Amino acid sequence: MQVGAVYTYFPNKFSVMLGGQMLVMIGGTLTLGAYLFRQHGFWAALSLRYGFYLVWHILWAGGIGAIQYVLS
Amino acid sequence: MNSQAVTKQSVVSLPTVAGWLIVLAGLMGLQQILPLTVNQGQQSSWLMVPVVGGLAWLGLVLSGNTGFTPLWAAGVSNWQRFGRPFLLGLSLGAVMVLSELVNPLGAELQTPFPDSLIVFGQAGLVEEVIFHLFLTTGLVWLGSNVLLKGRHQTPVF
Repeated sequence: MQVGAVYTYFPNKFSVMLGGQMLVMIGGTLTLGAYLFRQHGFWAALSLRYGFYLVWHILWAGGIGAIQYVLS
Repeated sequence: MNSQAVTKQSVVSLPTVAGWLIVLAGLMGLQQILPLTVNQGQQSSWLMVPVVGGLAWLGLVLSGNTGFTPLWAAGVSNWQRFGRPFLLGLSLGAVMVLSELVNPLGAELQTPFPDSLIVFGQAGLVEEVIFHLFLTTGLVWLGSNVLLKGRHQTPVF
């Protein structure tokens, strides 16, 4: 579903490599999250998700934005 | 877990679900009043709050019936509940950052900081409630308890 969304919103960027990255990202968080949910409860799955988002969507995206700001 | 224990666990979890909804509503309120830059698909509707609350409640009830560890299980330490999963999440994020160095996805796939704090604060809770708390437990309940009528319920892990 989310790979489909990336393809829909960014058709010019879509590639096999990007699809692989999305599968690792989405599959990794979903599979590992399901395992942690089973073993240690829902808080564990939620903590995994927020740890991932902190690095990927917040710190890294913020870094990209800061670099673009400095270069522009 | 027997039905009495499931009911008790669901009641114990109610304040937690209420807390999630308050956080979610607060973040959505900020999204409404602040001039955020969001990608397509990141706009949110107030309808999401009761929907997420309902799905979370249903998921908690179903998780008790399908062998998932309860939200506040006594035998789970805070390190297992919060610390280790968070570190694993940081590691997965680092893997994605390294992969982007090989194949840059570009900034347009990301929401700029600090807007990302609000957008992904909401998204994390909403996605986890939908994908894990509701869909995963719902599918396991449907397959194991309804279709297989409780047979073959030997835990695999």
